[in-house]
Amino acid sequence: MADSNSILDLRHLYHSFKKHVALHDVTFKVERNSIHGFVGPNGAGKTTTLKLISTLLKPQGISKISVFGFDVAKEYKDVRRKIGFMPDHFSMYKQMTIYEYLDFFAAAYGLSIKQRDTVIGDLLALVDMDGRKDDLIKGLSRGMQQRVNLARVLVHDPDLLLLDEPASGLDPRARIELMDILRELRNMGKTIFISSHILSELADLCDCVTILDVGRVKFTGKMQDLLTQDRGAVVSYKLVLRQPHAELEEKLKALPGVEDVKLDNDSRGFTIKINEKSGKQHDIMSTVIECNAEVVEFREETKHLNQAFMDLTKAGVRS
Amino acid sequence: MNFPNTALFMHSLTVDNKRLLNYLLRWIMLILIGLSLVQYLFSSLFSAQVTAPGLDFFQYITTLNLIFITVLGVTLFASVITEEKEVGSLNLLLMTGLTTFTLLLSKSTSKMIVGMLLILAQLPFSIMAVTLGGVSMRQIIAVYMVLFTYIFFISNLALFFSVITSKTYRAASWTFVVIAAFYILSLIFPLVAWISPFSLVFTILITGFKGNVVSLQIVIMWACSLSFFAISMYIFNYFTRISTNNGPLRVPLSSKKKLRLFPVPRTWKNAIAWKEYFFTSGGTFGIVVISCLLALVIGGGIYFSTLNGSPKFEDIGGIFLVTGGIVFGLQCVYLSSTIFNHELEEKTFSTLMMMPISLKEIAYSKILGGIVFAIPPIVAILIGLFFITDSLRSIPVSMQSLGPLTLILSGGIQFLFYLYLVTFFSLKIRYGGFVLAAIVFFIVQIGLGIPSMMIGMISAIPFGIIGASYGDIFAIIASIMTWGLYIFSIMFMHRLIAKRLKSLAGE
Repeated sequence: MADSNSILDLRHLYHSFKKHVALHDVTFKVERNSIHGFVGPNGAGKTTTLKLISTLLKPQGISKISVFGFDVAKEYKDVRRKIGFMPDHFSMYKQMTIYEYLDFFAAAYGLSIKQRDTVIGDLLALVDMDGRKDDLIKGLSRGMQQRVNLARVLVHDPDLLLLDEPASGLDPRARIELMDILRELRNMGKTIFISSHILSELADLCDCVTILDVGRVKFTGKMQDLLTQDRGAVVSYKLVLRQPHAELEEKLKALPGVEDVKLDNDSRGFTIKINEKSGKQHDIMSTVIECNAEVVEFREETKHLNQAFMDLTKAGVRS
Repeated sequence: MNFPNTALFMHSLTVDNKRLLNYLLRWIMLILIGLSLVQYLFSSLFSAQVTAPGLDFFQYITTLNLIFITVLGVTLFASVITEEKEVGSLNLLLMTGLTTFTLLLSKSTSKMIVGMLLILAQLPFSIMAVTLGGVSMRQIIAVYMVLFTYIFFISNLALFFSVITSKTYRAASWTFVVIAAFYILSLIFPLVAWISPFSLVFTILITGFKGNVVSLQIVIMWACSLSFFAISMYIFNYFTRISTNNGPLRVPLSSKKKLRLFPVPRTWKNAIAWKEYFFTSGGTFGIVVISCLLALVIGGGIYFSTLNGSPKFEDIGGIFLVTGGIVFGLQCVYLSSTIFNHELEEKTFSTLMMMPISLKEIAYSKILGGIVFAIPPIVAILIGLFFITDSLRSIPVSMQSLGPLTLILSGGIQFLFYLYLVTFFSLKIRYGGFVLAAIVFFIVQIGLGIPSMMIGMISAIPFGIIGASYGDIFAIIASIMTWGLYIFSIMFMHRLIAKRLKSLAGE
């Protein structure tokens, strides 16, 4: 029985192309109204998984995928109505205008002319393209084309968006704008399943993440769990002061539970390692205040997604 | 020594020489020539009716070569520049400092040489024709001059379209349209027929040919070819700037809505048919162009028939029927070969497949949107039938009158099977699917014809015993058998195409 909060449920996904095994027992879930990152090196099987979910490939063997309770293999038309898939390549009818392009897809999804007018107007406003609806698609920049593509994906109001490398090839501004739109969509109640190589952006954007390597799931769960896993009992804190303080290092070292204090080269930054079980984390700030030191930054140091990714995936050339 | 200007030529020559299509064409040519040589050798030995087997054989391989060169124009030559545009390497080539002249010459010459070598390899067979009798060395040299000139002409024509278009299928389509238009016009206008390589070869191969090896037609074709090359060179920079840029055109007005001669209405309820009609096939503008061209060709034909006195209704009807029929046939082949190709080239097929519409609905909607273009030729056929109504009425209703109807039905079923083959091979290979389909069709025709004939003969024996006309019964059973096998083959191809499309959607 599928978890009531999970809208996408993949179980024991095996997929092979002739002798090459692309996916091996891939099992994970995507929760409703979340942004779920899908990360993996090239050739890990991300696109294959996305194509299986989006009904473009037929599940093999015991593989089972359900989207909103619909079986991808049997109820493909219902699944297609529930999802919006943006492939990793820029595939558009470039001789159409933006309005014609969206109108075509809206009509193909069976929307009436009145509904189409309303939906297209709303979508163009959402992707900030309402002033350019009569422009030919081939005349748009890559970033703008990607926005139109996103509008196309939303034309039938799907609940789940499958985005395969939506930010690839975009300039930094276009990437940031795209991520903002995705956050807005999450706030509107959509669930977004996004595959990307840009880990820094995924770390900020995603609630959950699945890491795939050589066709196998290496991690699936909340982003926070990934970043804090394997850290053990010792937690690292970063402290940055406005001015260097001569006595603070020694005072911090003397605190109970503190295992190590390292001073940065500029004598303003400290990396403090403290045993979490000691429960004395708040003593760090008390000591700083006692020393009258002006604090610029104080935060728990977590593993970056890049590091987590490197730890979980294999290095080297893949076959 | 290092010659940077020849590096591209050498590279292109190596790549072109290794193409699978070239290997296939070489083998097909070899098999066809070998088979015909054996046939003409036997004819010369055992048949008293054959007076000039060498001439017949040479005529056969020359016609084969002319068809082969025409096919090369649509397949190999049309991709000269577009293949670089498609992979985005044209800008890199231009950055190496190659001049437009060197680039065009290197790219087109390498493909031309591949074609010329294929023709030249047949020279020993051609000389054998002299031994067989009926053809002189002078005629062979003159014919080879025509063949090489024709390669040069087709290559430069395709080069022109390869420069002005961004995709190979577009360049190939335009080359095909121009060549088809040329041959349709040559059926009607004597001046066009005069310059046609087919009629030129026919003139050369008349017994006792004493004309010049380099005729006026050849000079005109060389002049046309050089003009196409010069124009391609002149316009190269303009069209390359547009078509190699995958991003937006950096021209302020270019991103604005295109000025369309005929407005595009709101999307129809059948959205795919709407897209196919207005954005893939050419829309109302395309229909107007086809109608005008048809009217021009038919009008020209009628005009020339009036030169030999007042034409009969049947003659006018014949012109309408033949022109309409040829254009309809060509449009069907074009539609079959491009029906899914555009989506695959533009990588939009997976997006299309993501809609809650079955593959069958997508395919039929696309056919519906494309077949609208067959309205002008269908109208021409109907007008032609109207003109020949009286002639049809004069045919007595009997078993014999069913013959032409059976022929039309057989032809229709076979043509439908060919269209299925074209669609299937267009999904397998990028260019020249219709050529491969024609070869497979030819082989299948032999394959299906023999068993149906044998079964027909065996089945007709009991009827012969009970006194019915053995010949008629045999013909009916053999025809039904053949139709049945073709219909089965069509259904088989239908499934194969569906399977292939599903696999392409996931690629």
